[in-house]
Amino acid sequence: MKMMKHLLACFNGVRSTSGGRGLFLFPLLGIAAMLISIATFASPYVPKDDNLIITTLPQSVIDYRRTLKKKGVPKQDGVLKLNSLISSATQYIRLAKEQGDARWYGYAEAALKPWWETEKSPIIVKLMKATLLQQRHDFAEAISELDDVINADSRNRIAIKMRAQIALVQGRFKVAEQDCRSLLLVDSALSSIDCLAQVQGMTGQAKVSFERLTKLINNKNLYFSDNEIEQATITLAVLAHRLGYSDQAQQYYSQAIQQTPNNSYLLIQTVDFLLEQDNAIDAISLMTNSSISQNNIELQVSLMAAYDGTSPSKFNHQKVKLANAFNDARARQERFPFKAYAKYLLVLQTQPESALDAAFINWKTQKSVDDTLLLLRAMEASGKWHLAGNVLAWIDKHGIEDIRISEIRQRFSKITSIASIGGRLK
Amino acid sequence: MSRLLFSLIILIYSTQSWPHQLSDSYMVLDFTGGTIKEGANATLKVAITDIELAIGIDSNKDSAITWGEIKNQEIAINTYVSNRIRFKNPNETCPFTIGTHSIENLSSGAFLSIPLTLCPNVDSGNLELSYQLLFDIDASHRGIIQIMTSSGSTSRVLTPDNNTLNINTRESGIFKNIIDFITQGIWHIWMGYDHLLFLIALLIPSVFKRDNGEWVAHLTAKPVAVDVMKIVTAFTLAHSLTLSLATLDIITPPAVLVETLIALSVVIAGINIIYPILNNKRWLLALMFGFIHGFGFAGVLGGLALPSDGLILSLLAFNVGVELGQLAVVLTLLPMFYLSRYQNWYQNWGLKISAISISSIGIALVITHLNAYP
Repeated sequence: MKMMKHLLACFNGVRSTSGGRGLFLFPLLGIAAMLISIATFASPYVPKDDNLIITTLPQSVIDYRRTLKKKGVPKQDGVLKLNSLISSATQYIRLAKEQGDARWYGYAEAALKPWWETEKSPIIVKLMKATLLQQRHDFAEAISELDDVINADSRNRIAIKMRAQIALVQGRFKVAEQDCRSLLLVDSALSSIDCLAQVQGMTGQAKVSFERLTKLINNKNLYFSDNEIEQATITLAVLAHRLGYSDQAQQYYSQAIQQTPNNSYLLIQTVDFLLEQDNAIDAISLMTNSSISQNNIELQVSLMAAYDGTSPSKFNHQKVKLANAFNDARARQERFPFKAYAKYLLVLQTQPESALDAAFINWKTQKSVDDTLLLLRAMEASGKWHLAGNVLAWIDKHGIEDIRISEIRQRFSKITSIASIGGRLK
Repeated sequence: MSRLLFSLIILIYSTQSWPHQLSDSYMVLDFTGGTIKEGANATLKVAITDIELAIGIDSNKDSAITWGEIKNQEIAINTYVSNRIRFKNPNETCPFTIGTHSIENLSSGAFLSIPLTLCPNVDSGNLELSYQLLFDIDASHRGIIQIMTSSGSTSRVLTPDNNTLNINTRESGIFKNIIDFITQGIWHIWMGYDHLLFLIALLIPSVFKRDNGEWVAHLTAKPVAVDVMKIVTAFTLAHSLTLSLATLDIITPPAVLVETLIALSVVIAGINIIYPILNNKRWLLALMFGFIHGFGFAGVLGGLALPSDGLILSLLAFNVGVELGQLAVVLTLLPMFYLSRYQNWYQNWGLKISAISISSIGIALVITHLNAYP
């Protein structure tokens, strides 16, 4: 109920007060969002010129046509048709990942429909289902699919690693570490150590993890696949960033971007790093040259942040574009992008309390360093430090390490010590 | 395949996608004339990209969709829509005809606007809409249906698993609006424990009278009923007044101040159980603090996106809901208090424990709200 309160307050743009009163608001808010969306509609028109270009298809649709449509709709019966559907779903997921276009996850789910409600499905299907479920933040269901896979095949490294990553995002660090450790028996050294570094790098052993992973990746006597090196480079960049090793972070980020330019997570981290370094120009360049960033709302918010102070007209344009996008997301009445919305409100600086509400809702399901940092920043902006107790206790309990979090904590300590001196003087 | 599976892992860092790329269609059903509006009827808006993916309209495959290409596929588009959208009266289908296509640029891109004229005998009071656009190829597609009536509009989202909508304009109009706000009012008094505690604290001593500094049980029900009537009436009058003033934006005190004062009213009402103030005229307490509680109710109502054309009615409905919720509490608790009034434990301990518990919760609420001050 408290979550619903936050959610509703977020939708309303005001902080809720007392009691759980929100259940009936959802439809009303949906209407409001839709009316706002409709208000932005231009009048319909009938073009007079047949050659008028109405729209240009997005790149991902063009890619879809090239790679998939030639296969046609599966017409075979039985096993052949099922194999064909699995193959299509695989291609859709690849397309979604490469283009950052979430539309294709919906296509993959539709292709997997014959298995969606059944418990007995092939391992590949269960892994794809888990991917789709976690992508829409249905973590519990995703884990259930992965549990099934691991119960059937205890050495399935893909499932173990996915489960570790979900636990990591959820802030269940012991579970994540346990899964990463079990990877040591079934996966390559670099992949397993990378997994452990991601967990331990968050929970008090960032420096050791960074050094261990650096040493391993530079060991010329060992062979690693490109994919393993790419993943480890991203981890090193993020760890260096969190530890405050700016030069190394810059080096690893630029190396990782060259290796995997179409990785939304990497782009978000790199852009955050550049913006924290006051390098808006490179951040803008990186985002505007990436098709992925066009499809990612969090990156679009970062783009707005980068325009803030560098290009007022582009900032305002981006602000309107994002406001429309959030209205559209509300009209769907599901899977609202709370993290991006919290970031958006923080950039606007006019509704820090609503930003805090959105950040809180996000933090309830996702507890990565980014999510925690966003929450603390919203608390700082709204001056609601008195709400920080549980979050700080959680940070201390798990030994979360991040230089930016430490800086905010220092400011928080100053404020609380001034307040307590003030209290004593009274 | 294994390469893809391996690369699935990095998707775990589930970043948030741009909502515009997810597929939404819109359908506006205009019942503002009581029945489907003649000539305007329903309008379906489908993204050009979705039409391309479902039917294929880019005949020269240059990725630029021209008006000519859309016109060339008009029959295919209309067939697709006719096969996948159905309206049904209670006992018969309600076929529709499709009018001239046009283009509408929405915030999420270019849409084909498709006017639908429903059957002349459409029963807007009991109409079923079955929607199957795109679901077979895209499980994340959503059909967002807006139903416009003279009393406002409602929207529903159709999904692959929930693809049928029963439309009842009589219910979805003014009646449903009233029911929604009454329900919200009831819900608020029940879930807003600060209001409830205040009311209960005032009700607890109702079965007693003050005699020589002691609580003495009333012998009959009549004085109890009179006392409760006074309290409830005073509370209702007071909170109704301030609820209206705040909702109409005539007086809007800061929410945090209101919440703190409401919490304070709980403390005072709790203490009043043992140490009666205002000469035990609890209806005066109900009146005084009722004004403050009304502002608290208004805070909730403000978040409900009140329809501008039904503002007064919605306000009244919300108030009726609050009164009904309040009445339910009184009718549930008062008989219990009345039947227990001669029990020693009630007179000796019940009153004291209630007073201490309610005041303590009130104090905790005051502290919580004071902490919220900037």
